[in-house]
Amino acid sequence: MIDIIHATKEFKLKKDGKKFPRFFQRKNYKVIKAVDDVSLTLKEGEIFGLLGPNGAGKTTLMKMVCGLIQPTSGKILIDKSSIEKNKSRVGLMLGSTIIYYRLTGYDNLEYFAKLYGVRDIEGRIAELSNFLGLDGFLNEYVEIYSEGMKTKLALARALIHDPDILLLDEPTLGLDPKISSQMREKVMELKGRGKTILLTTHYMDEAEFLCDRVGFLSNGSLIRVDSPVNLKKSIDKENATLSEVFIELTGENL
Amino acid sequence: MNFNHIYAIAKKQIKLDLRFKYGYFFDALIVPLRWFVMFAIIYGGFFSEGADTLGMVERENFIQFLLLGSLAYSYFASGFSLFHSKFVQEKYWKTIQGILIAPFNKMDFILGMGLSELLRHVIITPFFLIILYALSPASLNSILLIIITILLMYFGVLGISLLQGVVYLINEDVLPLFSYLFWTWGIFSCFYYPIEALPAVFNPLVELNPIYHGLVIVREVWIYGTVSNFLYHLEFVLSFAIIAPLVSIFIFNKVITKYGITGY
Repeated sequence: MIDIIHATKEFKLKKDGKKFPRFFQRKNYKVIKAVDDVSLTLKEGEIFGLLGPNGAGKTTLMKMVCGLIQPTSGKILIDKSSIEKNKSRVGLMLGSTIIYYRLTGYDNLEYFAKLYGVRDIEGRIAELSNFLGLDGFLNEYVEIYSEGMKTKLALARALIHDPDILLLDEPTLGLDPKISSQMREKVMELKGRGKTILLTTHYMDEAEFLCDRVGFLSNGSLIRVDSPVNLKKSIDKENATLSEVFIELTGENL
Repeated sequence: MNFNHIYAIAKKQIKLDLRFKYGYFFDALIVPLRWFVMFAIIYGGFFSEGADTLGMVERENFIQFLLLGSLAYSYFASGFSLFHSKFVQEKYWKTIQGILIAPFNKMDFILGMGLSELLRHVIITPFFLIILYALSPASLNSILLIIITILLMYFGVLGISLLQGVVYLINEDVLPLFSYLFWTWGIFSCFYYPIEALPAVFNPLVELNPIYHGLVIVREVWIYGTVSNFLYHLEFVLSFAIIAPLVSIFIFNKVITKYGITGY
């Protein structure tokens, strides 16, 4: 369904480490590969987890999959055609961002629903409100929401056009255990509805609970892809955790 | 073009703008007045000292000349800074990605944002037109032509503004260049003085400027009731209104995915 084919994303950095665009390149720059020759196929209806430490390239890869940035080389296809042609099939959730704090929750959802051409906007918002437990909050300004409510609203925004493909970047980061658990249940329900989900997380238990397959990213490279069960069997240790597998494979800590 | 998209973008932006509405409307009133007051004092002194004319500006019409220039300037200034100022907000609110990934035509974006910004002018435009009418009445056709010409100039400026916005997203270092462009463009647009006030060496630059041609239409039609070489001036304004947004959208789409957003 989603084919990531030899995708590489390079950033040119100044000496002080700040990124700058190509047309302002100087001679003394260094190139870092945020994503390095990653090839991966996501199957329809699966939850795929991208795991790796900060700076491994998870979010960059996700931004390429939704078309926010282009790969420096390689390509990403959705059902064999470009991302540009499939924008309306993708829902993106980057933590609790892409929501306007100065608008009400309802206004946020209504705005994005119209941009994505949702027909029964009121019905869709009511459905999502019910699904994610946003009732009673939607007419309030988002600025007064708790972090958990903002995250739920961000998920509702990503789902507003009922996309086939859902990209979730750290969906439970900074949430308390109760809300995290609720979010995981919602992700499982979405899988049950046939969504293809690509998610990034730092939480190994979350990846084990949610993901059909996981991919370990380290320094931009995809080190290993397999189911959590098979990955844990792949190292010579009884009751190994995913963290231990990652450390064994990369020498890095998650 | 999708009217639902245009409406959604305009509605969202108006709601955001009116979250703190007093500052918004106060600014909308003051911007067109401040240069008007300054130049009215200068022209008032100029004519009270016995001067007769400066180009088309005369003792009898300098207030109309300035009011029309101020009106056009207020659209020019708000249009020019629109995308830059809104992208600043969207960039730091981390909502800009929502605009970039949503499947809509960027022309809808220009029209929606431009429409929302017209709210800023709903008080000052009728106010200026009423004063102008009281000083020297004009026909309804003339008033309509003036409004259409100002809107065409505004639409062209929105295109340049989008270009400024995308540059802001990819590299803020370039932004001062646009403030110099705004300043230079303003000088060669002759909002508050006739072309004769500038040294003749600059006349070719002014003659290439579509905003200047729009201002000629606006002023001549109100002050004289007719425009000499109307089609010639209209060509500049229309070409600008069509080409600037299209070129900007093309560059926006090419540049933003290639270079991405930096600095947040």
